[in-house]
Amino acid sequence: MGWLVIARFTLKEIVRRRIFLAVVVLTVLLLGLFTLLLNALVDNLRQAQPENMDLLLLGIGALMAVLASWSVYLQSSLMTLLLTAGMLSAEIEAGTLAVIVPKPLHRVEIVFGKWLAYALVLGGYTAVLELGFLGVIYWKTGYWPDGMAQALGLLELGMLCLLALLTVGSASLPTLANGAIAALLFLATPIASFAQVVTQITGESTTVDRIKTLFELLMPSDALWHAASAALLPPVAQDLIGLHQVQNLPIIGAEALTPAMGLWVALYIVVLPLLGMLRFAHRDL
Amino acid sequence: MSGESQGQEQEPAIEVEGLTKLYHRLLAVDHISFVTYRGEAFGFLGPNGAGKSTVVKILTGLVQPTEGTVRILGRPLGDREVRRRIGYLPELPTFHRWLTAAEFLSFHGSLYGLRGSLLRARMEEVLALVGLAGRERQRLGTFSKGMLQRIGLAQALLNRPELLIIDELSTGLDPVGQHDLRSLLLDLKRAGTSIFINSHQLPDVEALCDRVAIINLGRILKVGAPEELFDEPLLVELRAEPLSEALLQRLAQLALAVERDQYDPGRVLLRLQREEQAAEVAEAVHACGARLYRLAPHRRSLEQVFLRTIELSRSLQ
Repeated sequence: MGWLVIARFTLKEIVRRRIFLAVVVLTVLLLGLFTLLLNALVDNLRQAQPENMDLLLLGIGALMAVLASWSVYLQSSLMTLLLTAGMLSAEIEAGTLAVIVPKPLHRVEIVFGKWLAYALVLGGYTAVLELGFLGVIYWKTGYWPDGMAQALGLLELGMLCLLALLTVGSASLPTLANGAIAALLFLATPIASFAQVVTQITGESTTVDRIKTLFELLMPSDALWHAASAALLPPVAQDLIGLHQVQNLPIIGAEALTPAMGLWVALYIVVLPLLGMLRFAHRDL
Repeated sequence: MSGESQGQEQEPAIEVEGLTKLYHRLLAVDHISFVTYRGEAFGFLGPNGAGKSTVVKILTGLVQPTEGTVRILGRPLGDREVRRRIGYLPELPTFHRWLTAAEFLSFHGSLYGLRGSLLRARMEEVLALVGLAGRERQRLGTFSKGMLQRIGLAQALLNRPELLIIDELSTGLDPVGQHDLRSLLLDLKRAGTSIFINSHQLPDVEALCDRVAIINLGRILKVGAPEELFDEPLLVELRAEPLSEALLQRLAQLALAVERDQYDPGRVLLRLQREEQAAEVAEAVHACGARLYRLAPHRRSLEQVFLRTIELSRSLQ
């Protein structure tokens, strides 16, 4: 059960590292600030005493749910990037693995233990953050998305995709190179998505569609986010903002995850860490 | 005890056959073979870049060999059960600085499968052994280099290893620390622990090792007990008065070479074939009516043997 010892140790390490504490403190502050802002917005609306106040609040709630979840997606991804870009490579570079690897455990257990600890922490972080934002929105506007569980699941899958890419990268590349590649792929997909929206409006979009698909295959997080945003917005709201005409906007999407993409995501999340384990098991330290 | 007699009496601890490591185009280890025996302290000596750390990394599973076979405690390299029975202290150990000494040992003890009161008792024992008792709650980030070396050795001893592999023992230690750790290793050796020590600190090797291998450019140049490596004539300093012509002639018959000290007419250096001939020198001095003031062997240190072997291997390149 060496993987369990490694997982426990990694959990302890994450908690003791100052970056995690800083992120938790900043997240609490952000959540507090969001509560104050939403409170002020709702108070202003109430003072204006508009007609259909309840409907307006629900509309604001739906919009805020998407925007807040988008910020959760970004924060969760940023945390994943910062915490796990050096999951193995930083330890290889520092030499701390030199006394761990000769112990009676398989190298695969080291990767699995670390992956598991990071998946648990980042999964918990994403869930707490998402539920925190949606809880505040529900408290102030009364809006609670029907597809909340689905959206949260998709956000978690997005985090796991990034973690999978960083795991295989960390087993093979230096920390900086791994972080840079993951960050570039993470940023390139929304740009391709944006280009697709523009070409949908202007006409010919086949080439851009293909490029976007390629980027989504390389880094499925953005596709997962669009599917999550679709789950957060009721169909009536999607119609109102014209989403059904273009299917996807840079931040908001109307498309659920296709079965093929779902299968690809499942493979991505499972196969990349396995490749990372295989690579780490056979590399020189 | 010579290597051959040990081989007949003892089981091997490490068996290396045709071991080769190629890093891309760099040949770090070139078909080396050697055997160390249980209960033996075996020293691996070589200059920087000789390939000795690569060999240690292969033995500990950090680096994969390109070619060759390695058996440790009778089992193939990488066997999990064998890993339970070995301890390893790397060169310039780098540990997680945020851990306290107790947390560090607890983590490594858990990796060895130690739990609960057994682990706690063993942690106390090893901390006392390496002279760090009372430092349990101190963070490794505040440890000096010497203390890190000691805590590193402590983690290597947690499992009461049958084989202890050390990559550079004295790095970062003050003379007292070096002495303490050598004493500790000698105690472990007396208790039956096999030790493989990789070093360019010759005093460590000289003080601890039953046998030594000298390695350079990835090849083993010499293997043997330190005394076997002194395979050259014994140099003896003689001070006697008067140093008559008759005495000098007699000494010339006994010794391979006689060298007079031009600044000290009462002193000569003799090269003898055997140590026992020193007694014959004393008799010759007495027989020639001279008074003997000094008769002292000048043994070449391991350092001199090492430097000469390395020089010789370089000149043959």
